[in-house]
Amino acid sequence: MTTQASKAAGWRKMAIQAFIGAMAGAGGMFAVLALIEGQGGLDWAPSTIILLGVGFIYALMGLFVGIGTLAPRLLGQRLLNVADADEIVEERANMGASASSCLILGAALMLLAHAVAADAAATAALVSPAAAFWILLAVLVGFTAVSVWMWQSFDELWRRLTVEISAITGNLLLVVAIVWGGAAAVGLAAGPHPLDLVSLAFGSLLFACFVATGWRGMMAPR
Amino acid sequence: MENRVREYREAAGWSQGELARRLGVSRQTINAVETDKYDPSLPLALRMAGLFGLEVRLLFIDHWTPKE
Repeated sequence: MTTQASKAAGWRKMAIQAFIGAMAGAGGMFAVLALIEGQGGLDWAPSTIILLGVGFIYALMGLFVGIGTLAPRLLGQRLLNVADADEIVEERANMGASASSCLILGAALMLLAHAVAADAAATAALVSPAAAFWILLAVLVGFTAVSVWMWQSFDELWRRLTVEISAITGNLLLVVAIVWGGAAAVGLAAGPHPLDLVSLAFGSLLFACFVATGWRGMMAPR
Repeated sequence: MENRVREYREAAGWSQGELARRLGVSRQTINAVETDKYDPSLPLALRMAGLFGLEVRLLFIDHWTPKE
């Protein structure tokens, strides 16, 4: 394949990926908005909605990567930004671990949002807010263990990326914490809801992943 | 930093996957190096040059010149 034809194929693939992602995202957000509008017997405050949204993005990412990893030739090479199906097969262990972690973490975040919204409406939920918190904490411990395990098999690019992602996340949190905390302390803004801190931490991590991988050219069509 | 990894890899008839396997790194690393998005560590640069039978300075070109 010529370089020009290969570039065109890459962009075409990226357009398909963006379209599928947008459809899935829009479908999910419509469902969430319909749920919130009808309230579903729950009291959805802005902080719980944001946490639900962050959890939904994690779960959606985990789902896409998971499906792509399970069926590399049929779906993976079309859904994911890889050169071909063999690349998924080579990276199957890491991609499978990432997909499972994102899916479980997203579900735990959504569960916490749901539990808090149910508690605010004094309605019975799947689990109590305290139980949802302990589940999230257990998932976080698992997420950390998986990250440490993945680190062992990372090569130098992936290790550098992990450090860059951590640095971007940390700096982002530092800026937001200082500005928001300071502004709230002097009465210029409302202070953060505890759930905002959870959303902020996981949202920053997600944002940092996109920035760092984009910086290294890993978001470019392949 | 400019590099000629793609040129030498293609001349050797290797895919990115094949070069990655020979060097013990991921395919993404080879792609990132070839597209100038990542400068490899010194040990990896030495391994790459050794694999192609070259000196590092022929594979990785730095246009830096010392100040007078």
